[in-house]
Amino acid sequence: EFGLQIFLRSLSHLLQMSRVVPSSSSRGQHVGLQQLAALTTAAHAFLGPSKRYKFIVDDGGGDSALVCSGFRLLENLDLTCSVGQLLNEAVQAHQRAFRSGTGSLLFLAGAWGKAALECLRQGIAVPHILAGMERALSLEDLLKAGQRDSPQPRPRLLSATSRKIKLTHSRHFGSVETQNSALQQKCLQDADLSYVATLSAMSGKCDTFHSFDIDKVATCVLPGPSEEHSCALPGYVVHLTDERAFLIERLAGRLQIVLLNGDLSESYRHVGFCNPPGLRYVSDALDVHRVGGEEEWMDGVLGTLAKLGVGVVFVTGAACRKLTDRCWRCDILVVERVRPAVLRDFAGATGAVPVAYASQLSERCVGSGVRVRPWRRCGASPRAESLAVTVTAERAALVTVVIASPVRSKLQALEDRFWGCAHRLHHALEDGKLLPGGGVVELQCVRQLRERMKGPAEQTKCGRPKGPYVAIVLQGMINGLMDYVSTVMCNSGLFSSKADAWAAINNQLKETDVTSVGAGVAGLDLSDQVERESAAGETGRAFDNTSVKVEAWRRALDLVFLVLQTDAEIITGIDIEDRKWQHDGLMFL
Amino acid sequence: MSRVCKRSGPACTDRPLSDRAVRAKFDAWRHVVASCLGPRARLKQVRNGVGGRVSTTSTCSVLLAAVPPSEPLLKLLTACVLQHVQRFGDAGLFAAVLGLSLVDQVTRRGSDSSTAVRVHQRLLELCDLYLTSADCCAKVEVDLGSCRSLLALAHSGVSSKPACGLDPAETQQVSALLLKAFLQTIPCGSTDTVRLGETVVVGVEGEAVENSAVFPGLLLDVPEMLHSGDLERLGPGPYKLALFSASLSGDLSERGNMEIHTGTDPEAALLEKLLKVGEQVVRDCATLFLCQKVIHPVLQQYLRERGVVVVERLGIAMLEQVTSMTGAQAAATSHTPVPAEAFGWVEALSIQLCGTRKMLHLQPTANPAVCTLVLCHRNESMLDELKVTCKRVQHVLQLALKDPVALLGGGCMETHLSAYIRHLSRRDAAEMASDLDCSPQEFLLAADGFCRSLEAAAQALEHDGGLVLMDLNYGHCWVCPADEELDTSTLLSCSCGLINSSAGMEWTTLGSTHPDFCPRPPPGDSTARACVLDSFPAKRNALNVAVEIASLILDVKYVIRDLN
Repeated sequence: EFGLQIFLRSLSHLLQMSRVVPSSSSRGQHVGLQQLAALTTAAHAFLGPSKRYKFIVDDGGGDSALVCSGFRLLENLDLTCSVGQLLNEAVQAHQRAFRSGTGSLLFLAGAWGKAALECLRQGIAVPHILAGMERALSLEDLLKAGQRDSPQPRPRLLSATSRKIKLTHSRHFGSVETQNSALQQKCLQDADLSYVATLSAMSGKCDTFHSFDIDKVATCVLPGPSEEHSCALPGYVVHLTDERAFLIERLAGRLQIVLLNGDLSESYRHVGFCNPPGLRYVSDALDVHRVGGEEEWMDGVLGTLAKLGVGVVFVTGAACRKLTDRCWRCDILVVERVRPAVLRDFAGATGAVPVAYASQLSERCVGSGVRVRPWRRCGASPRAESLAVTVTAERAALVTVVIASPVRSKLQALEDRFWGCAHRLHHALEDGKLLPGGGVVELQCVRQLRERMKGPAEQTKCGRPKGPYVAIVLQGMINGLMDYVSTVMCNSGLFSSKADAWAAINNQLKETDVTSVGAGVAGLDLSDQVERESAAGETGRAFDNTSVKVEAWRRALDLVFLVLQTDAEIITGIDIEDRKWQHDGLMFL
Repeated sequence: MSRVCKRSGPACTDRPLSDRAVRAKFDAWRHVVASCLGPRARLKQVRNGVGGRVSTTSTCSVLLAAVPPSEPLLKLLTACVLQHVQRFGDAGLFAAVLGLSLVDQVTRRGSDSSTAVRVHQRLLELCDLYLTSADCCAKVEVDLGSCRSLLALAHSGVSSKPACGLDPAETQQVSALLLKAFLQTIPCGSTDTVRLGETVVVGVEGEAVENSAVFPGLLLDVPEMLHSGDLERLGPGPYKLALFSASLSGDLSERGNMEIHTGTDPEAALLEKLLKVGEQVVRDCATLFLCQKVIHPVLQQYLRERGVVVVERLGIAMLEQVTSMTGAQAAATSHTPVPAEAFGWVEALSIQLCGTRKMLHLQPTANPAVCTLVLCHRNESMLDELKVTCKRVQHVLQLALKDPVALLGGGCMETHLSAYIRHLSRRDAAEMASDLDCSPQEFLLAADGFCRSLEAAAQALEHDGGLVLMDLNYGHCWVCPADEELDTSTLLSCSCGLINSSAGMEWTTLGSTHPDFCPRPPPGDSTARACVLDSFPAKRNALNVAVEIASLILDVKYVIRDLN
């Protein structure tokens, strides 16, 4: 399988150079699955609560990146093989949809890829491997039939991964705290980032806890202050590095705001606008170059802003530097690169209507009730003055989470981690149920699969017992899951080696086989559990999202299936004389 | 200073098929296409050496279009197969496998190619005659009064592409949706000319397959500025619709060089024109304003402020759909006002949630015949394959409406036809040989090659070393998996599901010599039981294409190549 790589050239004048080399593919040699297994091992360190950073160094350019998650790792690698590209595609798609769980996806794709390889080595036909794996992992059945070992798990939504970032409380939270019940208190004790952000996000409509709108959260990364200074603030936090930032004091009181989609510059045109290249401006006067063009435009914009009495301008793109400076002089704050979701939130809260050009601005487009307050100085030296300010609007539900770190290269990882937590919370509330984390679900699946292996042999349609392949496929899946749990335990420091972890898990499985009780894992209801848990005051157990986990497993299996069923990689448009392609095992079409 | 290049003369290959390198390429191609056949096919990852996306596929139209062969004779074959697929949608791989097998059989035996070509053509006529005759046992009637056989047809089409990554339940669901969408494209009213409507396929990546659905009418991407409240404010329908195919972005779209005097502002002038169009449309009480291309933000704002729903960047494909569904005529210019008859009508507007994607749903006023199939899938590669597969199945269903017959799938039609032709050629060998001006031995040899090629197409459906058998009663195809010992008592039913095994049945491994027999019609009324069906018109044409192209390739004596 797959040993046969077929290369093709479209350059016909090189035809006489073509050659066919028969492949030497032997049993159990599936290059694609081997590549999959090799690529995924790099992500093992990202599993579990204490993740280790990896440096990726580009030998040629000398660039380097610090990564701490599967999707960032793949993003920074130069993946040349097709399997690598498929893997990256799957991981990025999962990341876009859920913002967490790529570690599990990567690990299980590799582990189950290895299981498939082992099955191939033992001579099991591909359709049997597919059928066996598909049935072994009929997820719904497994998760529903799964049992939890503790009768009262505590639904801490986030596993320990999020605990690195601590938050201080703003006044805002103080007020929420007094309004609400046990849940908030617990959250504040935990000082868990997402919780705090959620509470703020929902402070406006606090009566329901059934959804968490991710669009109402923004992040602001702050290089400089220590991680202890990370916190959540109401409104939008802007980091100003301008030396005149302290002039912000002059922007007191309730201000008017306008929102601009696109860039704020004279040359900006909306997407899809393109004048023909052959356009020339001619003039019969000497003043050919329209010298006053940009100045005139700036005067116009400033005039409009002044006429409308605007104090704050939000721009989704870039803003012309000269204009920003002149706006400062007129006490107008221009904020560039604002996320569209933030723009939408301010539009809703202030009544402003986003427009594309400053010339479109009219009284109908202006929103009101915005306040700008300085929050903290961030610059260490007086020369590099920088200031973080908050922009708030009445009725706005937006919360900004400030992520600070003195190590600039860690900021991205911290921000990713925050978004991961926030999305987990979002999905937890959406699903309305949770799975016990920390490998508990995986162990339950292992137990289930073992039961299945022990149980009466499944019959084929003609009445004979199935061949030995079912047991081999199931054992492969079990090994994959066991490997997952032992890696999680090993990474979290519970065991010094995977072998120890493996042995301990085996022991635990033997014990619980006897005493397991049958309560549904999937039925963990959020609403009433919260009260009970906080009353019980348990600590320290992790939970996972149901939908995220199910999807990650499903996608990992999809990937293994796709690669397993592939027997050739066809590369088109190559130059036959290139040294790269001059090795055995290739066929030219 | 000009450079003079010496022109090199053309290269000529005499009898290309006797060249080992060419033969090796033919073998490689046969291996590639044969391994893509059927529901347990091996997939191919295709990518460009320079970079770009990887596509994982086993679909003929995708594979052959992405992989251009370097050998001219193979180019000829690919082009023919692609053209066949364009017309009939299905059975492209079958045509390619059969064509390449026919060439292979003749070249491997080293027999005279012109005799072989004559025999092939004759046998093709016999095949065609048999397939179109009323007592052909390789086909079943498609009952248009019930969904059963249509569903089987759709199901066979979807399940034959493993790169879609669907489990059995999902396959069933997608097949049912395809059938539902197909039924919605059949116009209800009986007019003189019945024209089938269209199914627009929208793919949503990252969602579970269960979220796939069919909607009557069209779905457009929701413009960012539109809120559900805006739609509620519209009041009850139907709504008037203005449609533009011209760009309303306000740029100077004319090509060529232009000189503009400073002091004049062409942008402002154009914008003024656009606003006049907007003014007129608002005056004519249109509620929907759609444009194939970009709309100037100022015009958009002007229209929105007056309660008009604005959607830009529809694309050319969607423009056609909107035109046919709403009856609107797309205005190709913004310089003249929109004539009254150019406005279209929409019955209702709503926002639909497809997974996490919000879409604007346009419902047709009268006879719909246009529907949107929203396909959701977890993975982009799988979604791409699923979209192609669904289009293919829609095509097959449309063909079935014209000619309500289906062929037995799963290799049964091929083995049956091969058994029939083998029987016929043995019976009438002497007569046909004299007709074709060759010896009976030559005729039998060529006929054997023809039948073996058909059997090779059936055999290509099995990729895991399983044993492919043929029964000596009905000539159907049976498969015994590789890791189960060969025991004919364990065989339950043939590949297409029409024949159940019964006492007294005999089997032979496909491709081995067996006693002559004339395949019998299936017992009793069993049309309802055939669960794997193929499109009749597609496969019949594929058979023709394969034999014709093989004949052409076998007839080629020289390949002359210009090397400049």
